[in-house]
Amino acid sequence: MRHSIRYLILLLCICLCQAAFEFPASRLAQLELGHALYSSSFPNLFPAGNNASVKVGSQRVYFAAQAVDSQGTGSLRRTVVLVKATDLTEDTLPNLVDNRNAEAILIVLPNEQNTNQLGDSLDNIQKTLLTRSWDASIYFAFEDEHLSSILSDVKKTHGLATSPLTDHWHFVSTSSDAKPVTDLTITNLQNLFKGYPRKGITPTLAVTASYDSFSLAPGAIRPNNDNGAVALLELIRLFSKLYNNPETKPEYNLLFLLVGGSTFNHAGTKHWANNVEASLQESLSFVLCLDDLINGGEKLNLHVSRVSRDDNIKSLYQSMEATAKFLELDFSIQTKKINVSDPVVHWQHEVFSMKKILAATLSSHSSSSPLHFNEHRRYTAEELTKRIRFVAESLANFIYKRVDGPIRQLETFQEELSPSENFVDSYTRAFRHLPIVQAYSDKEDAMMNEVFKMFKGGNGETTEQQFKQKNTDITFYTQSRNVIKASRVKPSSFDIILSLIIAAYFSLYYVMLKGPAALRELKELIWSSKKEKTKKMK
Amino acid sequence: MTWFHFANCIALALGPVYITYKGSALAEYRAFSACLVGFFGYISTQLLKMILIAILFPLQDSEPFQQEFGRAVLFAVDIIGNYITLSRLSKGTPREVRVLAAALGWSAAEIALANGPTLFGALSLEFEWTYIQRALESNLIILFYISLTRANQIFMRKNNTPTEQSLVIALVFACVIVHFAVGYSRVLMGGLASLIVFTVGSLSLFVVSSIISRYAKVE
Repeated sequence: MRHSIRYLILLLCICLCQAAFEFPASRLAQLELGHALYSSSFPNLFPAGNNASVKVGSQRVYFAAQAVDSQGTGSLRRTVVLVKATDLTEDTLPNLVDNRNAEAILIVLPNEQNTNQLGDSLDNIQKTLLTRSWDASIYFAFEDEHLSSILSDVKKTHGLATSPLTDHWHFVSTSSDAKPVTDLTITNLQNLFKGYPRKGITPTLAVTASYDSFSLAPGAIRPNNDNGAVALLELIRLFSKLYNNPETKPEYNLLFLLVGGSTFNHAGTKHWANNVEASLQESLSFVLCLDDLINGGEKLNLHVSRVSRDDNIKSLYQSMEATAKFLELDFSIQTKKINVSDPVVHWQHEVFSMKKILAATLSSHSSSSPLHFNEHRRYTAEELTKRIRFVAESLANFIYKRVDGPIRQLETFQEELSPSENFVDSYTRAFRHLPIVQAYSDKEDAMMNEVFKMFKGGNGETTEQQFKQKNTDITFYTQSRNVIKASRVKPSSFDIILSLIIAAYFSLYYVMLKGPAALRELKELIWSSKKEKTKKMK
Repeated sequence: MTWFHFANCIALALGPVYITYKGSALAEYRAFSACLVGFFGYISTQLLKMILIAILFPLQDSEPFQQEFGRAVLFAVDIIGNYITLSRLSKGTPREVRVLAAALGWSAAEIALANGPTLFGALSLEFEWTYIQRALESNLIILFYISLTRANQIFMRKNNTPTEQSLVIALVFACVIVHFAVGYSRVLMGGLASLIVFTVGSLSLFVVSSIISRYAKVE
């Protein structure tokens, strides 16, 4: 009736691509603390000896169950639990994993188009997620029409007596086995803008930020650093205009430094500070490290290890204070001495201070904690742009020595020179959705390449530095792109009943064909098999 | 459980072929070779049909109605192929056995080559009713081809009365119409509708063909 060969060709396609619904899901980051030592970069998070690891099989089949009634009891083995992020409390996950043995948990995040805030609803449980180990795979996915239909379907059938006809959901994750990341190649980039040479050494002012960040589930949960590198990129864009114009070129070198490995105890910064050219180090008068500029709160803190008596640097502080006043920002200087015996580098500037380079970190946070949980603020690009402008203006006022001048002169970056809100907005979004997590990013990482390309722009002298980082205290496990396939299935009782019906149908058909003879044959068949059995017994 | 489900579907599709062979006169007459003639008759007809399609019908997007109509026209090739296959069978066996052997071999080939492969989809995790429908369709295919082969058998006789001749031609036309209706209803309303059309169509064809063949034999 139909063209048989066409079907034969179609056969493979049919077997491979079924109508089942697939959606991308991010898995909770899998880390391990190899040594009894504290993790150097998450000092406040991991108690010694505890590993925050998540075990994940390569391909598993799960049954779906409903778990919105997190207070319920009963085992959830071989079950993936669907939980809406908005329904999560601190006790939900421990209860599901420890008491009810759920094998996997899929946390359904509200649609990102609606909220535009990545993983906001998870703020209260982020710490719970990272500070202990889980015997379950935890996945995150954004809610869409398919997933919400599955959710409502699962909710509907939950608790009802299952008949052979009720549909169940099967979830299969296509992730490959997670392997430990052993070799890490970290790249540092520097971009030097040369000013007019002075007699002797032309002083150099350095601004640095790290491009890498950490996220519990990249792409699903907001990373801890989504604006430091953005600020640096915008500063390059602004200052390159000044340096390219002979009329505005100052007598100061400006060095931009984009470092990696901040999650590994500022490994990138350390490597740069240890391998910097002697001439450059000599000319370095000050390093300004840009941390999170906005999530910590309204206030901007300049963290220093000691207040410098150098007049030059004092004038930089003054410039910052004056600019902050002009832009109506809350700004203060915080002093915290470095504890030399502490292996943990709390602030990036400490690396430079140890090398006797004057440095300070500008951060919105008042205390150091590498992952600022519960501190994700909803902020607008306008607010962030204002802070970037603050950094730019204060640097410019310092470079052009305009601290003592009348206040209206404090504005350099206006009109066509003013910071671009669109640029800041698009880059912050990109950093949130495609964070560069050092352990997961390789050379092909599109976001990293884009950031590097952007960084190298602006006619400065760019140099790239690469090094291998080994023996970190934390072992990251690979995080491949996960796709979860959800399919509607029937319970096994359905197939058993189906085969019974088929058997009945066949016998009836046979009897119809053969008439009464068939019954006799069937009888003989049963008898003979019984006889054989009895013979064997004897 | 997917393997179990797949096995169920395959059993449902192929079981009736086996039972028909075992339960009918075919087994008694050892007409297996006759069934094989039907089997290869189907394959060669389909090959010929494909060549014809390639020559006569250029690739183009057309309306579902036109497509199904084209298929119904091409079904003439199947009818002729079936007729030739039937004529190839040795005259030694009773007429009914010959008809049954040709029809069973023919439909077994169609089930194995056209319907069977789609059943592999039942191996996927996702449950779909399609495969059970397909398997049931395979059962109806046997009925459908028995009716068609009966018509061909009567048509083959040399001393038919005009009534018989016109009845047989009407039966063949009815077969073409059912074939068309099944294909078109599948395009328009989906698998379940076409299964219902096919059930009604093939059952009534079977009944009508039984009556006609009895009438023709009596004459």
